[in-house]
Amino acid sequence: MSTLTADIRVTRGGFSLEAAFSAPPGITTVVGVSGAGKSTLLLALLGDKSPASGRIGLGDRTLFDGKSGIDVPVHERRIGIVFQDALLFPHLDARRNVAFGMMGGDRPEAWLERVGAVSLAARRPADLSGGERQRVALARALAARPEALLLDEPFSALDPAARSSLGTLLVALQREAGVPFLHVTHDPGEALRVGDRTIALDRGRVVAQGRTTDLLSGSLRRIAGIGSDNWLRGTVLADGSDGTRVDLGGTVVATARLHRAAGEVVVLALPAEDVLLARGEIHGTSARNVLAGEVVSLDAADEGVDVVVATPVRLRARVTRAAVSELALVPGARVWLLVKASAFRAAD
Amino acid sequence: MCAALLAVLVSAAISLKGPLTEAAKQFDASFPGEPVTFTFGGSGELAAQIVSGAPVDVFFSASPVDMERVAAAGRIEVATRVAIARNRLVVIVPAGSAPPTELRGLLDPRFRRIAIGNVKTVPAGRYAKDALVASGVLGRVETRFVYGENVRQVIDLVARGEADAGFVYATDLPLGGDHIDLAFEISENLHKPIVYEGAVVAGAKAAARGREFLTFVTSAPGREMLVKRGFLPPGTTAKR
Amino acid sequence: MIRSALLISLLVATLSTAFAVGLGSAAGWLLARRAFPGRELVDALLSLPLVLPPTVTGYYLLLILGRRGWLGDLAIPFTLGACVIAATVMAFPLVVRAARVAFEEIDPRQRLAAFSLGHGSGSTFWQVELPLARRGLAAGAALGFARALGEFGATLMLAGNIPGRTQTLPLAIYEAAMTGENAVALALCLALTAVSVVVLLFVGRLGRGRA
Repeated sequence: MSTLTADIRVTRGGFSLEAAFSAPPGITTVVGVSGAGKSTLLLALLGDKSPASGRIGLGDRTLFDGKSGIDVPVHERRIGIVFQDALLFPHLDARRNVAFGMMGGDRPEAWLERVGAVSLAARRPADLSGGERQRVALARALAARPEALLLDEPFSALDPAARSSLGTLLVALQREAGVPFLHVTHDPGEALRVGDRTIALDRGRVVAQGRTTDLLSGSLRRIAGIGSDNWLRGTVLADGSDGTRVDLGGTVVATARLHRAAGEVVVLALPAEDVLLARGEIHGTSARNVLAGEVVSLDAADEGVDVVVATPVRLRARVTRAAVSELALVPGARVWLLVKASAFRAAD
Repeated sequence: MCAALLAVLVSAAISLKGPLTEAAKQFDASFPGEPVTFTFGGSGELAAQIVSGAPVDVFFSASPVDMERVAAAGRIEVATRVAIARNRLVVIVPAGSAPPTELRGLLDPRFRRIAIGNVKTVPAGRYAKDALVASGVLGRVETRFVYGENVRQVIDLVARGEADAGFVYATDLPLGGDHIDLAFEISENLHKPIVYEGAVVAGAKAAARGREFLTFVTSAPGREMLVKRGFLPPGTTAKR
Repeated sequence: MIRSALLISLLVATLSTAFAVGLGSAAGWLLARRAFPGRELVDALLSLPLVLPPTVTGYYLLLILGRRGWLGDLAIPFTLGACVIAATVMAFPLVVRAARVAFEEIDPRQRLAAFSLGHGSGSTFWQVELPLARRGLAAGAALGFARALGEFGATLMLAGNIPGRTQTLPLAIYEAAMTGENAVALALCLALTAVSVVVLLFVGRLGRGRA
């Protein structure tokens, strides 16, 4: 099983990137705003830009080592890439595009079928929609059987429906390929939906890496621009006329109707200001969600304090400083959270 | 500025460049007036230009054939047509190389390239070709010809070693300087007489002064400049 | 005279365009892809035959290739080869410019994509860059052919004007005009024009292709 590891320093123009991380087989998303260094990172991993120093490894192969002078050329790295605008070869039809990196054995049609684009085999890129082009681009990259796949905001230019279905496709493709996928995005919802792990980049530095769900409830908030919102990923348990029940992985919540089928993965956003906090269990309120938990930490916010509670899924509640002292909120304290069903918003 | 517009324009065979330039200088000094200016080239080329209406005032040709062409087109003042000099044809080689002693000597394969004026437009080329025909060797040397657009070019080709031998006028020898050697002179019997003729062009703007210059060239001082450069006086045209 | 001039011109123009396209595409690619010190100077030098009078270029060629030239006696002047060399030198800058622009217009990430799919520099050039540059190269080839076909000054200096051997259509037209053979001159002009039109149409088709 190949893991992509990197510990590099790259300079590009006046910008410098320092990144140390490891991406095991699975989807690792790279989140950050424009200019944070995401493209620079991908180019360095691909081999188009040589780092000033450091090491890049894939499985048991060393792709770059500043000390010993190893710098494997792009065409030998076995790392594929999918660009934001697909960048298919305009003079070849879809079938030939897919066949371009194949080394024999497979049929290009089989790959097109896998990505749901087999009817497009004879079409030129100019005659394909954005979503169709990305499907072909995925097929092309995977048909070359890379040991790792980089994706540079592949779905950013697509409409939400396409983004969603392609995201699902991506997860399935990765499971079949069994290699690390490094997926760059500026959309934290997409990161949650698609990525098991996340690396957060800010101004050329890796500021956090770990499980996506952990990151998005922690320091990643500011970087990804999601403020004090809670970003949660869960699986739909039931969806009916009086709302939807979602399993967040240990905590079950009731939300307004999401119109999703049971078993579907869904990403939810919940503003911290909409979470009420109580020291004792309260009955007889209109809140559909009453969750017991333990205070984990207190973070100062612009106007008040964010109380992080493990339910066991970590949720943030925004309270005033007065409330903190009145309710004697300290780490370890047992509290109850009250949340209206309508406070949850689908974020994908 | 006005004077330049009224300058006398003379088209002349390039082999006359030396004597005519000097003659013009003396003429302008002795008879002040509009200055004499020149266009030098192959006689055939110049004749074609005059026939096409070039604003030339006086024409000097290196052969009666080209003058005849211009006359037949009605482009000269017939009364002014006059022979002004004769010349001899010679064979030259690059300096230092072993010269042939006669035309048949050119059959030697070491003469890989033989420079000759373009037969269609350069009289010297025609005379040379006539001589080779008369000697019975044209067919076998023709494949080795390289052409110059005028005699100066032929000299240049031999001087630079691009050609192993060449046909030029005896009067052109000084032009090649140290870079060429004279091989031999071609007998006059082998070609039509090399007669230079001059005439005023019909409808010339500077006709009057043109006539004066033509007269000057055929008079004693003009002839002096030609003879001292190796030209022969016109005399009567020799019969073949 | 007409037939030999036509054949010579066709042969010379075709050969020299082929050489110019081969060399010019490579040079254009290098100028587009490799940034080396003095790149713009090299570009300017390669473009000199475009701006210098043809006779000047012809003179330089004589200096280099003449019997007593810098490279010694290669028996080049006054041969068909000399015609081809002169025409190639004149057509070359046109092809280089067109090629450089054509290659520069290709999104550099296309190359990157091809590399990531396992293709090296050579394979990427033939399978991706060349097809994508096809239109620009065809335009350059058309210009180059036209230039080669109409070459006069440098050809006259390096190859001479030997009927049946190095007398191309332009040289033949000049000679016919100078000797008053107007009917021949006109026929030669028409031949030259016809060839040019046919080639332009053909190359235009190549360029449009199935892009």
